[in-house]
Amino acid sequence: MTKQLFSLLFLTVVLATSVHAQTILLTGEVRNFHSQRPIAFATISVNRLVKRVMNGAQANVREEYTTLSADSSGRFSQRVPVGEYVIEASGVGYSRKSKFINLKTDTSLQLELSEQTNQLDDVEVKSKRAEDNVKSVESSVIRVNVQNIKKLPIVFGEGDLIKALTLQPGVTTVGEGAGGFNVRGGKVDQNLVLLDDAPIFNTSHLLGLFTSINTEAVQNATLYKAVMPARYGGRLSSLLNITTKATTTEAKRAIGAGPISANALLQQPFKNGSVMVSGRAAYPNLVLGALPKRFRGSKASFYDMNGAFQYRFSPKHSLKLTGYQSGDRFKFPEDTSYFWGSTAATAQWSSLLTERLSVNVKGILSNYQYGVNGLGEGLEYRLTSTNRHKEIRADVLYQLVRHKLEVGGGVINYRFSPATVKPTGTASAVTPQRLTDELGQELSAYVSDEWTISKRVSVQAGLRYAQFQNRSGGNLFTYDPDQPRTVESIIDTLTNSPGTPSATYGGLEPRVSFKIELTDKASIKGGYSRTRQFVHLITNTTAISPIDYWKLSGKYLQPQVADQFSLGYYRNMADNTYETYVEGFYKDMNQLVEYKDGASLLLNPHLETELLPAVGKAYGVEVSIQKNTGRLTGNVSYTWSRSWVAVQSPFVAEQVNRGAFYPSLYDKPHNITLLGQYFLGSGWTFSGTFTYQSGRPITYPDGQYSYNQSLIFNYSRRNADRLPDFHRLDVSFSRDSRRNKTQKTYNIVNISFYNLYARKNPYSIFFRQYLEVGRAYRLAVLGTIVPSVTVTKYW
Amino acid sequence: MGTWMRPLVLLLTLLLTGCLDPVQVPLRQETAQLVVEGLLTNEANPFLRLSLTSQFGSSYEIEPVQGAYVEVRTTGGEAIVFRPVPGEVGIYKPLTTGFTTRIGQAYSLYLKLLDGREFGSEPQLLTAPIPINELRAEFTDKPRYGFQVYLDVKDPGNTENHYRWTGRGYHQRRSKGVPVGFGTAVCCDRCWVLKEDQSVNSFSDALVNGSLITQRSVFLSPFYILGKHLIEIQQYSISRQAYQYWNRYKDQQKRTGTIFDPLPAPLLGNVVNLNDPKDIALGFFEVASVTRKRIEPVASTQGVIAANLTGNEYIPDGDCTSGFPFAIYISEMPPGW
Repeated sequence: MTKQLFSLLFLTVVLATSVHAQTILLTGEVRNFHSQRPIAFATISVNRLVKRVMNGAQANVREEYTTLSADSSGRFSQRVPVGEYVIEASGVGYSRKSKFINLKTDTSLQLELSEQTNQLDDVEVKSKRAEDNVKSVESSVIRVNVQNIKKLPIVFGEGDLIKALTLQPGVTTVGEGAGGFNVRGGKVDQNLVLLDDAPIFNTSHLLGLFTSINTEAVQNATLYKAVMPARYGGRLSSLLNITTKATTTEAKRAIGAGPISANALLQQPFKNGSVMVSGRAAYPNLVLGALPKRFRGSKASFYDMNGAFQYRFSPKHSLKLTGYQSGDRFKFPEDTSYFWGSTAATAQWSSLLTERLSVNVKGILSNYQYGVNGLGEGLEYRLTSTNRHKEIRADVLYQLVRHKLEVGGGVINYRFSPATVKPTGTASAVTPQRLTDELGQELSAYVSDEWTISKRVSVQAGLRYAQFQNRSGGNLFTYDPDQPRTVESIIDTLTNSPGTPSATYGGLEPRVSFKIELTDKASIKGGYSRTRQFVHLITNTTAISPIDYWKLSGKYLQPQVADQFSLGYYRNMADNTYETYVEGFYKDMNQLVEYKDGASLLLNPHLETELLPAVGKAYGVEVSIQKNTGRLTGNVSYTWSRSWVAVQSPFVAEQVNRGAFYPSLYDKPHNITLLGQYFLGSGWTFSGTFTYQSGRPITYPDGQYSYNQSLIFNYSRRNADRLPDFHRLDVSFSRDSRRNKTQKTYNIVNISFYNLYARKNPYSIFFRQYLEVGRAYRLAVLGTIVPSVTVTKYW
Repeated sequence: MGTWMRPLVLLLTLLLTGCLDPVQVPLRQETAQLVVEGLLTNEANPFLRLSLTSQFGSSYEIEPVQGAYVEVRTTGGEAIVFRPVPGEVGIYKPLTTGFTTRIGQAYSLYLKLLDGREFGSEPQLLTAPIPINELRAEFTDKPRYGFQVYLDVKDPGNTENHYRWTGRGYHQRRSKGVPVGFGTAVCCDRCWVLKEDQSVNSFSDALVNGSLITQRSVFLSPFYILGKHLIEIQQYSISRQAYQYWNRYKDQQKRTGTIFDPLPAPLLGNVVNLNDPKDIALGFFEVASVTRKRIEPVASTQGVIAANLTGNEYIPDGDCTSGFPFAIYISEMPPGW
């Protein structure tokens, strides 16, 4: 299989390089007309004018030659036959623009698009641009229109990237206020969240209420739900690729404030470069401080900062530096406070070596630190964990007439410090402890090609190879293979010196997408991908919490592997006013991490004794109808999907639910989202979102008994019950004060009502003994209407 | 902050903290599961209770297993029949009196229920008891006033060992008493109050094999008035499997209902349906040798602490034994002491 794939790719490369006779090279850049900023990932449709005899007369007929996608700096290049063309560029949040051109020699084009401000085709999160729905080879991709997030209904005044994503089919969370998101039945840690190519290990502020990335600083955000580009890997379910506003040719400032936080942005160009700084600081203690007495000890704070610097040494060589820092604290009135924060930095060198060949070299650092402060008298301690990620990578892009070839590779060094406990305060009785650092190295290399086979058929095929080595030092235990793994079944202990590989894993990861256009308005698209994951979030709770920690694959923790197939029918109607699609997927997952019943995970040097490998499968159908133009825009989507897990240990006692498949925590069969935006006039827009989801699986007690003179609740079947269904309506009125598109000084006001009918959607239901009887309690996190007002001023 | 903002801020705060309400949820009806709670030691008086799970949320009553045929079998081929004890819910005792166990012998449980299902455990070895080296009692004011009892035990180096400790003890209390005759004399104003610690205190020698285990905190005897405390610690040498069972038991009891709770799980033990390995009973048939040691600390030297307590004690009216549960008069020593 692998060999065949290799030969196929090789053949592709050979074929591709031989087809460029009688062609010229068309290169160009798509920019924002007002700011002169490049528009990343803009779509360029290349249409050839062909003379045809129609009704007895000769006429020029437009024939689509190809559709391109610009790179992250708005550039594109394509070999095309000599001839007359209409080049059309478009981008999310921009008006479309066409240009007639007679191509005789190599040509460079500058295309400038105007921002859509109060125009009506300003729909929030769109899968793609008008014809892209049908014509692009990508499927299961969501591109977020970041500008429009400010107009959506928001909670506590925070425009939120991940909340906007959850309005799309296939993206859910386990509950309100839960950190992270789940894509197509996958776990939270299976999403690769990249901020300027640096991985972000925790995307939460305030324990999960908000996303830790300030939307004001974000230029683009794209979520790949199925086939991620071959360049990326290391996570099972999805890729969320976020880039910050790094480049500008126009000075821009913004400040904004809401009930919980304030933020500011500054973008400043200079000769051959530009700089961007943004920051957000929260003051939730204002809110927490006014609480009834018993909550008054709660304290929280968070902040985040983004910075970017871009400099062009020559038209062909440029350097981009980006940085990110976030921090969070949350203290409960009892004796504990939690803290977490991320630091990320990327340096990128880009060179256009020839008109067809460009190279990007990147150095990436990401550091995630998290932990707990114990504040109990006499037992003060600080438990700290750290993830360090260092990466160097290079990517080479080579463009041909019908091919877009990409090769590259990289190396990642991991150092995870799972736990260090230090007593704090002189009277603390806590003994210092430290678990050995985990070291690992991940190598990857890939080739990929986007091949336009014919006007109607194109294929994007990639092959990636990833290898991981665990190089941690410390004790390596050997367990008796005839017994369940426990501390007591250790039969041998070896000491490994740091840097020596103790386990090596790897394999090929094919990524294939295809598009077959049936007509100009309808197509079939599909894909297959394999992904591998070498880092795992160890959590025995339902959502990400600051006491969960990350662990590298090793001798007893195999990489997770997933295969996903997807197939869909895409159709546009009424001159692209309506975009629709139906897409089905099937995902097969292996070596998922599950836990023994009652596992103890914290500070456990024998963690492998608590872990069980599981298999999983997820499948579903997503249906979406989107209206892009007119006073009323919006989208309606319905998803039916299931997600299952099974723990099939050879030891019966370790099996969960007797080894049978049971619904995973992310199994929510029915999901409906409605999003409508109505332009009221005078800059006002009314938006409403409605979400309905089946309740997530949960385990209720199904019996009770007496043991050791105590009342014990029996939970005989994991995830056999469901929380009540979740539904919520949010509305907002927003006003954009711009009267024309060139106005530089303006403001956006957002008045939101979150959870308009104040439904107490349960986050969880749990059981406690009340007197002599067990009782159920519901915990609702945002169980009432939440109004908020946010004002942002731009100049 | 302007005054107009206050109501807004208050409103917001209520949302952030979430709301907690008792609710009714649809509960699954599962067939009742077998619960086996067994403890066979090197002493007389084996304990065995066979019960069934009852509907969650019903009143706290033990549902006994009726009419089961029960045997404790030895690897030597002996079978001791256990019979239900009339009047004691779910309790089974040996049919013959004078049942004794032997160190080095392994015991397994066999049950046949009325529905025909047969359950059994693997043979569980009764190991030699490990003596407690020393008990020490230290006065403490945290988490409350009392004697904190510490234990030292020399772990045998040639075997892997697992321990579980329980404790019980009597401490003294006071009431205003019942007047006797015409003077100020009162009777019945001092009594012994029993405290038993049911929390699970288990330990594995995996990391300390063969060394002296010291300062293991095993019991807290609360202090209310000056006087003697009578404390007995039981040390069970348990099997690895039992140790793991008790650990899971402990973890499940720790659930407090926050979003940081671990996922709930059933507490399955070592008694398995002989014809269906996936049908595992709840609870554990434990075979463990036990050693006991007593300590009788006296709270007379703690004058300062006692002075601090003076005036803050809870001293009920009347007879001391009616003021506190499981109390007996101080003039009488508790039975067995």
